[in-house]
Amino acid sequence: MFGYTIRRLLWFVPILLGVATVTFLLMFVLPGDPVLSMVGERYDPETTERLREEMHLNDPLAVRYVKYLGGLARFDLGRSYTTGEPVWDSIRKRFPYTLRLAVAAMAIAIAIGVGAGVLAAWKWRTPLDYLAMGATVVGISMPVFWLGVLLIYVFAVKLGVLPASGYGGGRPIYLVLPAFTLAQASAAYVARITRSSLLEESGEMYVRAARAKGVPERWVLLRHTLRNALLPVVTVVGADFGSYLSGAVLTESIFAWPGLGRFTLDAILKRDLPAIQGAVLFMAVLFMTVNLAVDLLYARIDPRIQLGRRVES
Amino acid sequence: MSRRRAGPVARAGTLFAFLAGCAGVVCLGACSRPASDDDTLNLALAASPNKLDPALVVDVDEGRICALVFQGLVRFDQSGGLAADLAKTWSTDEGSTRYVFHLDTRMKYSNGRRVNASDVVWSYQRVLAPSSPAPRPWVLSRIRGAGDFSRGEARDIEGLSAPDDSTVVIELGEPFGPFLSMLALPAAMVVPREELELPREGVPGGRAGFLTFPGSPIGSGAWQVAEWERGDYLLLAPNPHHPRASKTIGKVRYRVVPEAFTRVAEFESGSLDILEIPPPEQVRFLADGRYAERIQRRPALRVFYIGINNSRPPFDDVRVRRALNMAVNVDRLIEVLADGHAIRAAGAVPPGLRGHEGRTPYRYDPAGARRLLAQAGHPDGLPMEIWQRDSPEGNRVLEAVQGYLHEVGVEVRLVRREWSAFKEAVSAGRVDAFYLDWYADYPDPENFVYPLFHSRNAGGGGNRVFFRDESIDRLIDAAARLVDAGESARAYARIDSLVYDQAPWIYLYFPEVFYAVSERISGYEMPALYLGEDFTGVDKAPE
Repeated sequence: MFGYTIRRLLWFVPILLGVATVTFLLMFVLPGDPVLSMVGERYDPETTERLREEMHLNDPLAVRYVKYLGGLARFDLGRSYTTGEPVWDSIRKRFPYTLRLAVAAMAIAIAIGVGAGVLAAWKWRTPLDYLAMGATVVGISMPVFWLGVLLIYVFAVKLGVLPASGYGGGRPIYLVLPAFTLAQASAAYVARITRSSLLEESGEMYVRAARAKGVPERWVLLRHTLRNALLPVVTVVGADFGSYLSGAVLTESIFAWPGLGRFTLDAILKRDLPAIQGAVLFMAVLFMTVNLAVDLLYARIDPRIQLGRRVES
Repeated sequence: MSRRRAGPVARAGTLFAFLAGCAGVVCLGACSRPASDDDTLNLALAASPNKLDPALVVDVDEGRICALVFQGLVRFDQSGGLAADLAKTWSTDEGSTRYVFHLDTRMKYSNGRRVNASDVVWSYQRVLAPSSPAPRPWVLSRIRGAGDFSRGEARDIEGLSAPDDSTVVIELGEPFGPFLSMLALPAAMVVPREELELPREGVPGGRAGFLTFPGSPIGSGAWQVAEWERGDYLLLAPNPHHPRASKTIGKVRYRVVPEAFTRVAEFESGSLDILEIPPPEQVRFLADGRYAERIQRRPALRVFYIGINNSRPPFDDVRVRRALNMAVNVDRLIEVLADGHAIRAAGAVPPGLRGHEGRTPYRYDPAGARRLLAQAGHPDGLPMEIWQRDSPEGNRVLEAVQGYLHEVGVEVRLVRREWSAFKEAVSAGRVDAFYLDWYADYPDPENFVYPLFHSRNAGGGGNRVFFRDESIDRLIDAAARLVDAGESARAYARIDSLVYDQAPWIYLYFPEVFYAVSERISGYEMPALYLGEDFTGVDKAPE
């Protein structure tokens, strides 16, 4: 597994180079001008030209690309055009907010999703099963912005029991609404996958053997079936977690959460090239890391999986 | 064997219990809602301030904060009039080209140092310096010798001097009516040199030797920045050295809340003390008896319009532009979309400014519009693109306009782009028409007429419709030299009429702006201009 991990880590380098190149080139294809974002609605051509010079925007593409890669080689993501701060400092400040929200959302999604999935499988084809699966359809179908607005209206405006938005200096109460909003779709997927996996596994020989031995049904489900049913759940959770870590733009905007998603969105809207490039690279690293972690977790959950080896038929 | 199997199951169970516990902790946190601060004024900004250096700001929200933290020689009061700020008194000569400002010697930066006249000179030089990244040098460019200094042809600004510690003398090349107003803009605010540093290479100004604040800004305004978490909040505290420092409000907390709905919810749940009511919510707030006594309203110094590219055929034909104005029922738009809370624009100068004139607007006359289009060679109508930036209000207005124009044979395609792409295309004249608005930076008709219609400003200068008329240019130049308020009002009213007749825009409306103020707040008056915000007389009752 160690060798496999090292090989995967080495793959990070060419992938990141590709991501950096594509992001760099995309910035030239997209319409919009970073200088115009800085000068307001009344400006003269001399001022914009002077700023372009200052920001090296008039340099040839190749020169800028080499400079950019040179910076990356020194782990320097450059400085934001709009704030003047080093991009890495901004990302480092914003990421903990996103991490906090992502972990809370994932915890809620797993707790609700696995719980509802197990319950639905255990009470298969009963009203409880239908209720749980009906709720998951609602959860999957409900747009994040709509649910967020609804939760704010009910819990902040009408009932007044939860704050409507903000980070609140890290107080957990401020996490409740954004985390639930972000978690709902994942929770619904996890519940459906848990249920179907459990039902699929329940027909396997080892489960039937456990039943034949007289093990009570709930123990068959929790001790024998659940572990094997978790594998597809890990896949979904891993993918969702990776995307949450990259910043949930809608949730962060609705709930005024100062995370990485809003940072990236602001950078895109202002054509803040160093900030966009830095954020995208950071997200790529996060995604690759989470994917690697999921793959390693597979092997822990199912010892039959041997990482990095081709199975000969 | 059973133990070996039980291990992973137990781990899975433990993991599940842990995650459920995390969720539980999160929920339990809900039982401990924090008490609000009684001496904190809670406000919201739609966008995070990125830089709070007055030489660099261009956004409304950044300007609003700068006006609280920094001082100019003069400032705007809540009604939009000029009030003393750093300058205690000032006088002008008969020709209105020489201004002498006597500084208020009580004024100190929040670092404790007294503001002196050389700070004013240095701050203006910093904005006008060759290679300065300051985006608004035009604010000070009327000072005699500013151009030579900016081009690097002079070591000093000829018309700017500090004969002693508390006197600043400014001489203009020629009289300029709005000059005093412009000295209240952020670009003319004064900064302490000792608190500034060179930014790094790659940041605007880095190579030009332009000094800026390395962290939180230091100014001499009534408030100082106490904490600043970009993207989250900005906390202001009274500047203890300022003579008007608040005795009742201990902190002003600006939270960054991008979504309008969320800002409204924050106000309704008591977490915000003052709310600028977003247009879609105005009707509901006005109808709600709870807010009857708590709403302040004022006509905004702002105009909404659909700019028509005057240099692009077939819109270079005035008959086509007039036909477009006649085809849109603006009164109906205001009645339905703004519930009547706007004033129809029959000119660019908003009510509340001298030079505004209640002239007869283009009559809604679809048949007449069709006739005009036929006379202009378009009997079968014509296609047209109208560009807009993302905004729900813009969508509603333009969809209605699209319907009206369809009635006269003008087939409109709406093109939506985010701000940066929109601005680039519109400023370069690559679009037929666009939906936009213009805010007053300073309360003077010059701020509408000169940037929006003088050919010198075609493109990025504000005249994005590329309206060009030499005779009107001359009138605008002459009006700028008038310092008598009555003469200036008449001149700008005439110019506005002449431009209106040329129909460079589809003229829409002047909006009203509404603020809702919490019942705990007293002494607050909404400002006529965003730069006129002042919380020094505000009080907040305990909960």
